[in-house]
Amino acid sequence: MKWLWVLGVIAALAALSSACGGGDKAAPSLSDADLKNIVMVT
Amino acid sequence: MSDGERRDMGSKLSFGRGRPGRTAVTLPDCDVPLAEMPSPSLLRDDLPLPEMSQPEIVRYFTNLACLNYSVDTGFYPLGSCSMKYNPKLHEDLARLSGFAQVHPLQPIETVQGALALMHELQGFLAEITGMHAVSLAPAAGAHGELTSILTVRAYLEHRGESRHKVLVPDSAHGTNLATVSTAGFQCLPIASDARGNTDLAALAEALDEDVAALMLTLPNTLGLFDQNIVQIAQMVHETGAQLYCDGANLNALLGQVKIGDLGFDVVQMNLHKTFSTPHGGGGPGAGPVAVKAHLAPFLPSPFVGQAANGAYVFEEPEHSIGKVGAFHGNFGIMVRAYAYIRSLGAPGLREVSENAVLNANYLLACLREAYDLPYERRCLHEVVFSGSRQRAKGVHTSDVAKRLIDYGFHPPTVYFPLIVDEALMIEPTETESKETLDAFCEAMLVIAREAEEEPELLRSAPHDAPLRRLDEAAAARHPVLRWQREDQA
Repeated sequence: MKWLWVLGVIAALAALSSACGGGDKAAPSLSDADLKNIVMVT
Repeated sequence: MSDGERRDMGSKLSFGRGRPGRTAVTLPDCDVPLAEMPSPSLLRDDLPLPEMSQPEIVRYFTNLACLNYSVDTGFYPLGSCSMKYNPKLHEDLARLSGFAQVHPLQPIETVQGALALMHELQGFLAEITGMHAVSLAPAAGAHGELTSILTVRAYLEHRGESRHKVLVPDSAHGTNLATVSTAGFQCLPIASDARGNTDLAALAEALDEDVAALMLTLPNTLGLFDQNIVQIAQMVHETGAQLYCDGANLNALLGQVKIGDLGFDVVQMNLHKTFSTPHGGGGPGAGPVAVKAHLAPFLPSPFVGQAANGAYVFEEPEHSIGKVGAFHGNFGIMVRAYAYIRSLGAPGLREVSENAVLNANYLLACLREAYDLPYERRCLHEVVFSGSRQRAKGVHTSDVAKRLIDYGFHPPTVYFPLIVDEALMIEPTETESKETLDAFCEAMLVIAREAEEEPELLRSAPHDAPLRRLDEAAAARHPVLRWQREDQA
């Protein structure tokens, strides 16, 4: 039954990950002004 | 890689390997108008970059990478470091896009999963240590130490008490002393007794109303459980001081005893050691701090709480010492620790410490005839031998460590703790098999025989490494941190 337990842990973490709007799912949109600032800083 | 190739890797960097005109890429002809070059005053024509072919570069860096020694390539018995095997599953989980691609400045409603994980982890760590509240903010073990003592200082100041001294046993990690100094206290060393415990008479003499805290590592760096811990807690608290636990050795206690139940007020944990994160070489790590209720209002921010509507929020404790680092701590390490704790569960965590202690005592039993044991006691998660017997033959602990490299093992910690003459500090961790431990013991026993019969073999070791004896004192005092052309060095 241990593998079932581990599968449960993976599922729990996947669910927590899904509850985050990070990366490709919800990349923050930057305005032209933001982009200009970033370019100027770099 | 052959022995010859290994030695060749140590002989020169890529800079000594190129040939003029050799290149790793061939660019197509330019089919767009040439842009005007910047002013020649801005350009350098003497960049001494190595000119190598692609296979030369690939082989160079691949062979260089193969020289790395890690817990994935072999037994890594470095004392006080808990170099355990880290389940690869946790790496996958830490790389889930919802965790790996979040940004610390995102609105918290878009990172509720991450906050839920942090909130639950705070609860797990509080349960494991028997404490009331946990801050995940500190980014490393020593950072957690400093955060702990700053929290204690804020608590005492809030009570209107001005205390100036912190007591530290003579077996302590060096970071404890640095913490005391950085936090603005005066450090007073406390001797250990003949059994490796804190000397109660010395402690009683040092304790007065100017003492802010006693910093105690449990088990201590001798790998021994302080048998007087309950009495020590009582003595410390009678003077109004706080009892801090350096939790770097938590691997010995998981599921066996709760730090808080022993009378400690505050403990820092090294998630990267105890809860499985690849570490070494400077991080990243995480050093959460767990405290009893009276210290909770002084913890650093942010603390993850839960609002009445169930949403997770960042909170600042009422009398917080403020922020101790950027943003919210090293989140990736928290994901690995959370996965580790949930995967093992309470029975699994107890098994971790049982096997860690069993493995260390197995090494103790196998090697005690060949190496001196300074304290005749069973150890916990690590065992400390003395190389004093070998020194009589002109062989030092560092020679034993160098010779181990020839046998394919990472050397253990040497010359620490400072109170053991020619110390050899070995921590096998729970993830090693009996076969691996037997192979290590066999090498250590052969080395002990070599010390008797052919001591020069040890003094000139390692024989098979790309580089042999380095001038470690010169490297520390006159570090050369970047390559320079020979004519400019």
